Amino acid sequence: MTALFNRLVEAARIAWVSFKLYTVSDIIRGKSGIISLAGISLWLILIILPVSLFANPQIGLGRVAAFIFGGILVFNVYSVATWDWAWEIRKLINYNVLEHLIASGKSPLMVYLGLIPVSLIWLLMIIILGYGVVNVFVAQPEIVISDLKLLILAFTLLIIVVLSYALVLASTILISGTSGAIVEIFSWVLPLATGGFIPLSLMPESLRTLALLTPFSYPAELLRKALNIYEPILPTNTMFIIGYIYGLAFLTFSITLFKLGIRKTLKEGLKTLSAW
Amino acid sequence: MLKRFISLVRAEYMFVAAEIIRRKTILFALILWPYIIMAFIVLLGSSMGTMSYFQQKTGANPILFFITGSFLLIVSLIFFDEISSRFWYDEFIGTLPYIMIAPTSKTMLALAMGFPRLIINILVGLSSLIPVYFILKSFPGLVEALIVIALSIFSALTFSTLAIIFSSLVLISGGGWRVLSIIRPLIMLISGVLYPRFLLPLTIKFFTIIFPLANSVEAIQLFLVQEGLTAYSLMLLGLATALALLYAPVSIRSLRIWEHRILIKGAKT
Amino acid sequence: MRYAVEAVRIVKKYVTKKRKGFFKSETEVVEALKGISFKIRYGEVVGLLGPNGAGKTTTIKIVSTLLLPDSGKVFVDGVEAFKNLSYVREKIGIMLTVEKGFFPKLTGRENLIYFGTLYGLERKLLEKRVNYLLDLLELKELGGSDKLYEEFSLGMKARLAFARALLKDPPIILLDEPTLGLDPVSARKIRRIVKDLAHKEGKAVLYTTHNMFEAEIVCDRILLINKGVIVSEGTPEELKNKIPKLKVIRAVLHGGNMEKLSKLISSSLNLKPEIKIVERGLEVKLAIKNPEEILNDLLKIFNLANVDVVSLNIEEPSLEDVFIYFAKGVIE
Ligand SMILES: Nc1ncnc2c1ncn2[C@@H]1O[C@H](COP(=O)(O)OP(=O)(O)O)[C@@H](O)[C@H]1O
Ligand SMILES: [Mg+2]
Repeated sequence: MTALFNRLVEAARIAWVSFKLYTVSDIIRGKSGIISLAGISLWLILIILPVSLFANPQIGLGRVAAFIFGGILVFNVYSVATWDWAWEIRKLINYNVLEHLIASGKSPLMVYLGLIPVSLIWLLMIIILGYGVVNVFVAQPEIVISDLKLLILAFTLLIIVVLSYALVLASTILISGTSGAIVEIFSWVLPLATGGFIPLSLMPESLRTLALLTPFSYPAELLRKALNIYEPILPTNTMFIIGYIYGLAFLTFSITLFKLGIRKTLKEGLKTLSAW
Repeated sequence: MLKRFISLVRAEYMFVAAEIIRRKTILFALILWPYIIMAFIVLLGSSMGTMSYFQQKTGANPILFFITGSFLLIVSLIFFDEISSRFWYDEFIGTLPYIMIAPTSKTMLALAMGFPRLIINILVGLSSLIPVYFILKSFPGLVEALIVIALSIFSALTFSTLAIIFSSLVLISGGGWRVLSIIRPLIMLISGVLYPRFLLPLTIKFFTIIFPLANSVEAIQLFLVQEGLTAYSLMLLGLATALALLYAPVSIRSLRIWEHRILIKGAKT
Repeated sequence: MRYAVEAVRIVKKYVTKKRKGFFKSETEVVEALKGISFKIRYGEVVGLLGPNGAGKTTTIKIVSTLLLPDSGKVFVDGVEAFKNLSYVREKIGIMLTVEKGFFPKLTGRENLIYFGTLYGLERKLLEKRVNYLLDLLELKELGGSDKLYEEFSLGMKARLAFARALLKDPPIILLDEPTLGLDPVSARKIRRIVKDLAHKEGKAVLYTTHNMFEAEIVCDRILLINKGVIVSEGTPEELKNKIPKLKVIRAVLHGGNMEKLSKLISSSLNLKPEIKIVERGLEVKLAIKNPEEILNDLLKIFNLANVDVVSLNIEEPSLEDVFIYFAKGVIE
């Protein structure tokens, strides 16, 4: 019991140290994280903006804008997971930090815990950026926070799910030594196929089933509900319960996989990653 | 001089080939990329409305429009990407000093850096545009696709001089990929590759006139809508060429300034 | 006579920002070179010998036209370097680090071909030259020609970097600590070739190192550099004749006052001691030709100053010591 407690304290300490480290090195000195995320967010906007051209001219532009903004919101969370969290491993490898971490017997997972609050601050900034661009290029999005409690819970679930996703990606980097292309393709295809942008009710039947089979669809649907953008496909309560159970299971799986990845690097040594 | 340039392109090709061919996933991704972006936009669009609304608003078939747009997205940034990221990467891995002392014009080298990618991207153009154009328009589509590929390469070339200027600015600012990551999508946003220029807010639209890429891209999009080159689109292409020539001396100068900066600071080893 | 390299009163200052806390920073000026001058003839290996931070790399970079000096002039093969960049760059081959500076995803051969093309070598000639160099440095035997650079051992990396410096077959070769951290076999190989290049092919070589032993066996002439100043120069023989005459007395004392000791020693022995605080007390260092002669007096002084002698040794001077005493004018 005390051993477990000690481990938790230790973990909290590493997380706190990492948080301070990231705050200093990334936000105050480097600004690199926020800038790269803003860049990715701009790409996203670039690709999502033309979607508005497909809308029925009869529908108010405000609705169209709300729809687009909802998509940008979910996607931004995904980018944080793929680019910020999954790539953190790449950075740790390139700066030769990972080996030291492993050697010191600390789990790199704790580093992640410290990274999350920093990323959330960035996330807020790029969401505001997205809102601004949609405002200028399309119209002011018509969104209302219809249920604050649901919004917070849905957002938390989304974070849990994408954090797990990031760990899975990080594990593939560890295990395969490559990443770029795989991360890129999946980070775009996945949200599309799983309802990150399109409400499940609007999806073709087969895709809908596929989407419900992934943990990603649940928080997205709940988020859209909370912002009054679109009604979820199942009753809110059902979505909520399945979503949380599924999300936590995914998290457990991803942590296991990550540990496996670390063990593999211990066995085979770290590979130098390519420039692209 | 031409011989020298070709040998530089060959050397650069080795570098690109090593990266791309040794990591086949990159080649795979490159070929898939235009399809993914096109499918992404068209699918999202269709869930939000219909293709005919798009045609109504822009005059173009959305599938053709976006497969072309995504191809342009890749091709247009070649020079900018290669030059700024390669010189930056050289600084990062410590090859820069050895490149600096080469008695070769850095502008020539910069241009040479873009060419191997450009050639590889012709392949990407063939693999992405040809099938789609052929399915939608049968044989006349083949010719059209070839013309669009040629125009896209031309368009990328007209952007090369301004790209050198941008790259030098990025390199001089020392911001590395941070500045890059903001500037790249911004260039694409204002050049109207995916979101046509005529829809941009007026002030931005006005600004894009001095931007070769925005003009040549509009000419290509008009080619899609009107299925031919009109006097207006020829004028746009001419404008892009003139701008490219106008920026050429500035581009040489800007790379020199960057070189000089490194001389003062000392190339990192 | 036309010198391969002639440096005239080169000054270089670096301005850096020092971080103080999160937001504050202050600028700091480091004077890396304080007006150094030297000449290198064709056919000789000139060593630039000095401790870390002495200004060796800065010198190499300036001579290789990679860094602008604040003042002073560099002539390479008789022409002013920064006014004839491309002429000078044709003439020099450089090696700046042992372990970096190649593309990790290219093989050793591909890397050489790439840089050779950049250096303007014609294709056929280049391939011949690359083959020759891969052979010369035994990179072929080590598997380095077709292995990716990232898989190289340090020794192979150094050999490849050295091969690149020779690609153009340049008459002037500038090498910055080319054997730093290398295995003895690779280091010996590089030293051997350097000597041959100068003595058999008449090339001029500038060779920096912080290893006295190495400078002695490789170089025909040595420039001793410390804190941006060339403090002495000569053949290894000449320098050795200056150095062995010196011994260092190192005493560690308990109690006592630094200033008082310093005054006492300089007034009664007419010597400038180096005194610093160490873990066990005060360390007093004295450089002198015949330490036995003053030992008695010194002990008396310690007695007078009321300090306990923890330890006292007479030692051969380390390189650092030699520099310190050169700088103080104890020698010469
Ligand atoms: N880019 C730089 N910026 C600031 N200071 C530098 C830089 N490069 C070298 N220095 C400083 O200049 C001095 C000489 O450095 P260097 O020429 O690298 O010495 P050496 O090669 O003999 O070890 C050192 O004090 C070093 O800290
Ligand atoms: Mg050095």
